[in-house]
Amino acid sequence: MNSARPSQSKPAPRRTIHTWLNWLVVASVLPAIAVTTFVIIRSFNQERDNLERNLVGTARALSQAVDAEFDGARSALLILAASPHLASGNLAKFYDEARQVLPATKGDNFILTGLDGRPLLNTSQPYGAPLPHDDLAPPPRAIDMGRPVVSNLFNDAATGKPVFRIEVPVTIEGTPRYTLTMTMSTERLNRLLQRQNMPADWITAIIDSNETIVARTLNGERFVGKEVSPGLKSALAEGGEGAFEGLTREGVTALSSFSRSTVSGWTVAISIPKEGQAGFFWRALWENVVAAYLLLVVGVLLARRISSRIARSIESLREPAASLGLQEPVVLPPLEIQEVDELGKSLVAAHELIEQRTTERNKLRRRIMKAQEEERLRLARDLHDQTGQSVSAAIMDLKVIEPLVEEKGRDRVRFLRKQMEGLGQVLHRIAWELRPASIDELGLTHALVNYVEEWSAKNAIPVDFHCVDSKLDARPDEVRTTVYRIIQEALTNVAKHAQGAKNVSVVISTSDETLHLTVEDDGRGFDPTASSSRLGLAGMRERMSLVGGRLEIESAPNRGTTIFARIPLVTRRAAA
Amino acid sequence: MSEKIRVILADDHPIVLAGLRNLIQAEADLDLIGEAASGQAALALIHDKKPDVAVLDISMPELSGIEVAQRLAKENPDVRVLVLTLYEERSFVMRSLAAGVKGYVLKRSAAENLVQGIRAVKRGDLYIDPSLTDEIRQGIAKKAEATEQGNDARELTEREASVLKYSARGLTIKEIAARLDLSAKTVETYKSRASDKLNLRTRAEIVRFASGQGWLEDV
Repeated sequence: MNSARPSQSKPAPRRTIHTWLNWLVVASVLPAIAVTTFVIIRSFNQERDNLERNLVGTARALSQAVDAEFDGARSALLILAASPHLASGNLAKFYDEARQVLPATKGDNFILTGLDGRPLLNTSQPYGAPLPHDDLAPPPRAIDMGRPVVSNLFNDAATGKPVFRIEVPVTIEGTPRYTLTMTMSTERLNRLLQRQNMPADWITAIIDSNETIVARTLNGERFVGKEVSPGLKSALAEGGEGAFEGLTREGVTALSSFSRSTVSGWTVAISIPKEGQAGFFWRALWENVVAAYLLLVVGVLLARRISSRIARSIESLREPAASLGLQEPVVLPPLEIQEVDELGKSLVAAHELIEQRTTERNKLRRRIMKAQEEERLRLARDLHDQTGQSVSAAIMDLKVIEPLVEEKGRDRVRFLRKQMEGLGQVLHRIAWELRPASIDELGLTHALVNYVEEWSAKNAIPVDFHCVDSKLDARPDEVRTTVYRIIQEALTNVAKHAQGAKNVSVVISTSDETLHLTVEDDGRGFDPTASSSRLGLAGMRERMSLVGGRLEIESAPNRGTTIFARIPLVTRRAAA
Repeated sequence: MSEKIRVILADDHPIVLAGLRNLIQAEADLDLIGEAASGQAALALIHDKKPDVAVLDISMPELSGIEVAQRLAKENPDVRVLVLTLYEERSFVMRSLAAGVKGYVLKRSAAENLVQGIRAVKRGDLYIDPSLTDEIRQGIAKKAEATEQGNDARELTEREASVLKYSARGLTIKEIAARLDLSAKTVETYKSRASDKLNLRTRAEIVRFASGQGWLEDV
């Protein structure tokens, strides 16, 4: 056998609809999740690049804001330095002027220092009061530099608070004479930072040229006056502006940018804790995962719902499909899936076709069966009425001839007559096996009694025959023939298969317009589910189906066998 | 043998009739006084001629040999009937004897046995073809064996009785189980227990018993 089908490949995997749908859900959700994850990661990276760039810009702008702050102070100092009282050397008058100007400036006080570095006046102190040398303050550098200077941070001797100074040189008629200084508290710079309205988790810091923290939006009280983080320190060593990733003073990883003012040498640094920005990233990813999970759950639930619907629809066709050809009406349940509904309709159509074919075939088989039975009857009759009678007549003639023949030939004639008698017996036997004349001459009951006795004698098994149908002999031809043939077949089966049978019962009874034939033996038995294709049983089933009857078999290994044949006595269908 | 035995023959097959005629005419003590080719004709002939012995074929048109014998048993009991037939089954013999036939001879052994049969019947004996007697004796013996047991349905529980009743009506174990709402196993147990109690060994015995109890009526 060479299969014409090209499908020799591996057998397709057999899975439930549910599994397939689950695969579909996974196959559609997972790539979507992969794409969104990729998009999230890419946009995060872009965001980060942008952020870095923006962050440097922001730092620069802030640095310029700090410079502007310093500029204001410097302008005030320069105007005061140009005071005629200083030029005339009237320090008392200058003191009064300075005190008047001070509230309009951003400073805490003005200090005028001589070239030797000794303070000449301090607006915080009364004029003329002795001014001790301030050891904590850095020495003024404005005269040496020849331009305004911003000092580094130091602790004020009087208040102990961290402060810084802005110094301008005072030149009179081309000669440097004094240094005018304004002391500023870090408060101002703090306020400046607060005013920027940066995101809450950003850390902004102002750092002096000594790399000491002057102001800081987070943990200022802890870190002001302290050195910057090592990361920023090494970044500052490399250039005046940039971005880097490193630890903050708190020890938190952060993306930081910084910008150093070329004017003051001070730096503004901004740090965004990684936590914050990564938080955004992780939150996006997390939301993505949650969304994926929800999609999966919803998808799987939907898949289950849909698959159970489909499965239920298909399942509901199983029974109608199984009843195909059972001559029972195929009842379709309501089906909600169109394809299944169409399948169901095909089933009904198939059922109708089978029904039609079965009816036609049954009609034909009944005709054949009937013709066969008639043929047997005709043959049996011919054997009896013609051949049998002729043989009988010939035997009688031979008997008459016998004494007329000479002594020598008489034995031959007798021998011939005996042969003919044997022939007559054989003819009768053949006719009987074809169809016992007794069915028609004496009635079915007698014919059955004969058959049963014959069988019993031949097989040496007692048969208990009991018939409680008084009208058996008057049943229609077809029924009578079926009864005879079924019992014949059943007993043949007992002889063939039921080894060890000690008793056989043949019972004919009627109830509910049904003729019951029961043939029971106590022999070996068999498993009816395992060997239902026995030829004898198939033949009996066939016969039963032709008269609209049914055959039931009850048997089990070593439990004997009972055949129940039921023939309806009222024609159920058109008897065609 | 003072007087010849007066015989008439009836068979619808002319050649058989001819053979029989030759057989009888070959015997000095037999006198063939008439022939018929059908049951009806035979009956008329017998009424007319009143033979000692009527040799009748069983399968004849109109009236069979057995039917003729039945009629003669009422109308002409003096005429002895001997049937001559191809049928070898016991039931034909039983039916014939029941109809009052005194002799049963197979056609195939007629050459050997017919004349003896006619003489035996005339003497008033019952003559059955010797090649049949073994089977017949067996059959008759069997009939005597079938005796009624004195078993009593009252020994059964209600359940056992129902199971036995349905079983006798030809229901399968499964169907009985469904009707009585029992398991198949239980039904089998009830059935075998009931059979044991009543000493019923075969299904036919169960049916016979049920029939005796009137369980099979009004179904």
